[in-house]
Amino acid sequence: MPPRSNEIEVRARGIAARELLRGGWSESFACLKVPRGLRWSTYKERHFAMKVSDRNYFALKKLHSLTGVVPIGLFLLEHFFTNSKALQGETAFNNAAAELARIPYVGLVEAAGIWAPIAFHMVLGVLIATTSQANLGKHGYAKNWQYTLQRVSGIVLVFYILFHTWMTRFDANYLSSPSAYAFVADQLKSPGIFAFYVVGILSACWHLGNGLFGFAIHWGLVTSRGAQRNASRLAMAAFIVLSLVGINSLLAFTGRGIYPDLLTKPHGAEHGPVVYQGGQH
Amino acid sequence: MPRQKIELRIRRQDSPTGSSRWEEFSIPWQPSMNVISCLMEIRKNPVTKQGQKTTPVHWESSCLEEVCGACTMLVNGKPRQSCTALVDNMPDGPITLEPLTKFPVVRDLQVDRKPMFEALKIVKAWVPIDGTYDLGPGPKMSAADAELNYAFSRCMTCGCCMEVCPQYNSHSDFIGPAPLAQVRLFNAHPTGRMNAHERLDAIMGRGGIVDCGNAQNCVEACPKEIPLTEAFGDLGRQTTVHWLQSLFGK
Repeated sequence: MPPRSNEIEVRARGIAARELLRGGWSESFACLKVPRGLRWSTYKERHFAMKVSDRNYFALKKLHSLTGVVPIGLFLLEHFFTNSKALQGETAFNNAAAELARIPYVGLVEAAGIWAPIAFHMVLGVLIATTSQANLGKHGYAKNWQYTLQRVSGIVLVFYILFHTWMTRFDANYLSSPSAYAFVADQLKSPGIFAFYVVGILSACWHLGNGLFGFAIHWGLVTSRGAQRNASRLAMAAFIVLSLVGINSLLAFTGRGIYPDLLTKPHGAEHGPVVYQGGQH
Repeated sequence: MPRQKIELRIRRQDSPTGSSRWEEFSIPWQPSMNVISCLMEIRKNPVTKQGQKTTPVHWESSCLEEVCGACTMLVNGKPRQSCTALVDNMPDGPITLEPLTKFPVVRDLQVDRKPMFEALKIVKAWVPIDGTYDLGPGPKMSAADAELNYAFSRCMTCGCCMEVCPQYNSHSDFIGPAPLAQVRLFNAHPTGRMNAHERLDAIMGRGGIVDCGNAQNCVEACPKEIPLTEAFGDLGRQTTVHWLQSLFGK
């Protein structure tokens, strides 16, 4: 069989590493178990079917890590900010949503800043998850739990984001609804959808929070054991705070959100609740 | 109270491609036994607990003082050196012995750890000083650096970290924790540093540092307490800087 083009490229670049790696690897794993009914050669062909050059692979992995924080992580913060407007009532939320729709070049911002990065992060993330051989049962260390949950939450998020985007962005009933708040509040009356939203929000908060820990090591922001421990603690704190904010904004749509006075009175508290005037939509 | 008899459950496999089976053994207790002396006891009289004649159990060992890594196997499900697995320190009940699962089995408890040695070649885990003339003495290393580097130099390629790593398996390209940690070691060496970019290039491809998933099982399993996860943070930094320099220029 003639070598694939990328193999020629690798040789041309004088990198014998891949060759060595592939030789040593497949040979040494040849007698390990492969999925039932699948020959090793078939398995190998299938797995190595998609090829990119080594340096592009590195760049793609870097981009995967980066997109998780910027812009996807930033978007989640913005999303929770807008959702939390629901704590101030229907009008406040609907106005905030309408305000977002008036962002200049909104279509471009949405496609390039949210959809494209999420789609990229999602596809590569699922591919990364398939390279794992989870062993939590045998080695139940705390970090192994974090590692496994990172992958599980990622897979949950694929389904959640598809459902959530469909329901609150493309569904005809949503688009024709006079009040975004009322539509979501109505949907959340179904216990199944409410539970799925809770799972989705917790997954998103975990994936970003714990992802920050991975990001810090991946980019070499923390190296020593103490620095990594601190990064892990900060990541867990981020998960908890994000979860509380996220779940509270969800409860706001059911009229059960907690809105302590303390948080409403940075200044001008004597004026009472904020009254929204504008917002034609 | 010491046990009277030692019960062992051993996963046996006659050939690299053969299927595996369990065999049980019961041997008399003696003071200060380790797993290897148990295996030697079985070898004297290879009869199973059920009284069936069998072949002696095959294993690999060399130094018997936890510095060569050859006798690494799964003892009660955990990867460790069988020479320092002392029977008297183990909980009651049968002792389970299995070969490492991430390396091909040669026979019984012996595995071929060749993938690790190949990986060390890939990452160029050495300091190239061969030449046609005397290069003279190399640069000095501070005592503090030497101490940290010593921690990484204790690696005996036993494979415990590879065994517990969820990213190191038959459907992933990842070369595993042990070889990567050696890049950290040799890139910190005053003379080895001169070829740092070559090692970084080698680990910036498929199966390299970006395939680490931060499960951090490796550092828990390492019998030599090598700060493997510190190495990966450091290599993350080195490869990031190296990558940005290649994109934008130094």
